[in-house]
Amino acid sequence: MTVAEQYALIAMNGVELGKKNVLIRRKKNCILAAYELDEILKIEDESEKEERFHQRIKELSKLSAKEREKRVDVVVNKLVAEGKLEVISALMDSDLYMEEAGVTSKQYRAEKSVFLATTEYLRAEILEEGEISEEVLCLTWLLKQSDEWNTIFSISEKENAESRILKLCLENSFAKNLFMERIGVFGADFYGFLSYIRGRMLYTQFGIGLVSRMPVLARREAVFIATDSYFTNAAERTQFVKEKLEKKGHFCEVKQMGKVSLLEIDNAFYELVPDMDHRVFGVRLRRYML
Amino acid sequence: MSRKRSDEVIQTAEYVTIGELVRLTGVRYSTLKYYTEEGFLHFEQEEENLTRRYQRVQAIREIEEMKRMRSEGLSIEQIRQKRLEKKAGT
Repeated sequence: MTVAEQYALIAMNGVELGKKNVLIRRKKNCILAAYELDEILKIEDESEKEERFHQRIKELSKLSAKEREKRVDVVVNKLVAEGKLEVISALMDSDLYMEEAGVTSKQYRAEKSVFLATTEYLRAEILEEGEISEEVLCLTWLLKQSDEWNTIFSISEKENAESRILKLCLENSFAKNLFMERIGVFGADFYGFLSYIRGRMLYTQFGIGLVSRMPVLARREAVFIATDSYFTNAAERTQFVKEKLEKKGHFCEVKQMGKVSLLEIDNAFYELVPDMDHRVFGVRLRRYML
Repeated sequence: MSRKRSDEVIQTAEYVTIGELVRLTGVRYSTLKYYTEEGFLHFEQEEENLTRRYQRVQAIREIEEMKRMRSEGLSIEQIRQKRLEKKAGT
């Protein structure tokens, strides 16, 4: 798989089809940058590689929105055609309000074994002593640009990973140049900027806690699943939610059973927090960061 | 810095890294790291930059063995005991 395909697989996992916001636009810009990086990595000469990299990144900002969408679609559609990226019913469809309103939408889900092999290979190469390949270095930079980085490494692992990257930047000029570059969101207005800050916050422990207290801030990050009855038994409650999600085509695996169970749903981890919404019993899905 | 080795290359390589073992077996990096630290997975250490490398055929065999025992419901402690008994018997 190319860097663009690997990045798209990770970044598009869980993204709703047709949904547009600044965070998704940034992810798409990163896919475009990844596509350019695949071409740049073919160049043998180090100085030419650096020069071309800056030049190509600058050129990206000049592309029209239509052209950008077209290029992103090429990468994403290829993954869908190969079965590496699936289109399933959105997790948000299981939310009480969406169910009652009859609103449905679709989202992307990365094929589990490919997603695991891609993310775990990245983790292994970054966290283990030894050489880091150019592909992994580029993927790391892209993931850091779009905050996916926080979902792949735990807090303690991130410290180790950051120090390895810093060391690499001091030793290698291509790595240094790469990490000095920033992928922006072209044409974002003030509202877009605020939306971007809000989106980034959802990748932090503080943001997750805040949203679980005030779901109105980000409904998609605090899905409320109604249960038929008030389960006093955590195992029964977890089983009920698991079966409900599986019926809608989601991949669910119980990672830890308890008062607040931990579930892996479509390559992301969620805690099932017992909750009540307008006198309806159920569970709130709270994103779990490693 | 070098390029990432392709799947075709690692499928026939004599030695592989832990990351490449992830790609070959589909087992999580943290699991393989744990198996290595617990001595279930043998490796050699390159002197130059302390990179751990695994003999591909042997490592895959050991991982498959671990997978089989785990699927039979054995705990890590039981596996360790079983391995010790096997070692003492030979």
